[in-house]
Amino acid sequence: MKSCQEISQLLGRFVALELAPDAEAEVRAHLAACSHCRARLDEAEPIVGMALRLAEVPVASDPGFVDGVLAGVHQRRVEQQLRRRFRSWAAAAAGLLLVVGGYLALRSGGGGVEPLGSQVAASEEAPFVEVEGEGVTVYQFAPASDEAVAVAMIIDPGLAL
Amino acid sequence: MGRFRLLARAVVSGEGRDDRELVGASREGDESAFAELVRRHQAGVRRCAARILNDQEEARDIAQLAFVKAWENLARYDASWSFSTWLYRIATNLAIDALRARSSRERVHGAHLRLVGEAVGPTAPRQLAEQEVQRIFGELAQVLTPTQRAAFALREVEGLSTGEVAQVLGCSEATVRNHVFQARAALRRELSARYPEYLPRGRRP
Ligand SMILES: [Zn+2]
Repeated sequence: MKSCQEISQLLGRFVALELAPDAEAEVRAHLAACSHCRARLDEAEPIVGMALRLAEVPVASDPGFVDGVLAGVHQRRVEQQLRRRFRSWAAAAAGLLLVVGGYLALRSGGGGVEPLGSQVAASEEAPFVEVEGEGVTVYQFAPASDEAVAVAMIIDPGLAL
Repeated sequence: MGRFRLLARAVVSGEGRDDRELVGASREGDESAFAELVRRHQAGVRRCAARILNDQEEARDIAQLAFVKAWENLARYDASWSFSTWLYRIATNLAIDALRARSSRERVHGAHLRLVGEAVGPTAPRQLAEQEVQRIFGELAQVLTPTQRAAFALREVEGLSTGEVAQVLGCSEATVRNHVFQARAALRRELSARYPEYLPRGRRP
């Protein structure tokens, strides 16, 4: 434990950000407890004194914080699963449409239907997901290419995921 | 006996384990381990975001988002960094982005509010009370760039080392010191223009 005199000799280098981390931690701990040295610091560099005072403002307890983070984690997890599922679903649907499209193209003698398949492929973007409470997930995808093609679903995550 | 101990450890889960172990468990999908990491580091991350953004509500959202991003990117976490430094990096980047988005919004709407300091009162240097110091700092800090705010919050308020702040901001230690000194000079100017009563007597204009 350093004396006030030793600390006051370190204050100049503390303010100049020149102390090694250990020595700085010691000075900070002393300043937190000693109003005499604190007054010296305020005199020398009031803005650094202000920073120390800001550091002492207690962080208000926030009981919902951790649960909020975990809810966010769950939501991301659901989003990822949906994205994976949607990707395989979209691939299957695109394949199916290509088959149908190919069939129609054969019958009509070419052209016209192929864009359907590419629409589904183009909409393979991140689905928007909302988790409400524990139960229900609402999500929808709207391909940027065509606002008329949008899908909205309501899912019980317990069933599908 | 051995079985009991095992059960007890499973129940206690997070506490008593160091960050490294908790990160390892979180990577395996252990949410209770991750929840313990959040509990452990939330105060610093929230305070840092609050100092950069000067808005408690927004700071809370950013801090939560930082933890969610950390969870998503655990596989990419480099264990040669301290976990808290890595968290500060994620949170600081998010807060700086939010601040930039906000200031461009304010420019668009022309609603940059600038509060006027109170009339100069007594001659004795006033002590900054807790609530007051936050309000006044928020006011003064409007003149700082987002990076200066972040450097000041991390280095001066949170007390991270210059090396750690350099990691967080992705710049050199010399640049960190520059940001901090520039932030101090700008804050000193604002303080003496708006609140000279908080300056030591010999330093008042
Ligand atoms: Zn002392």
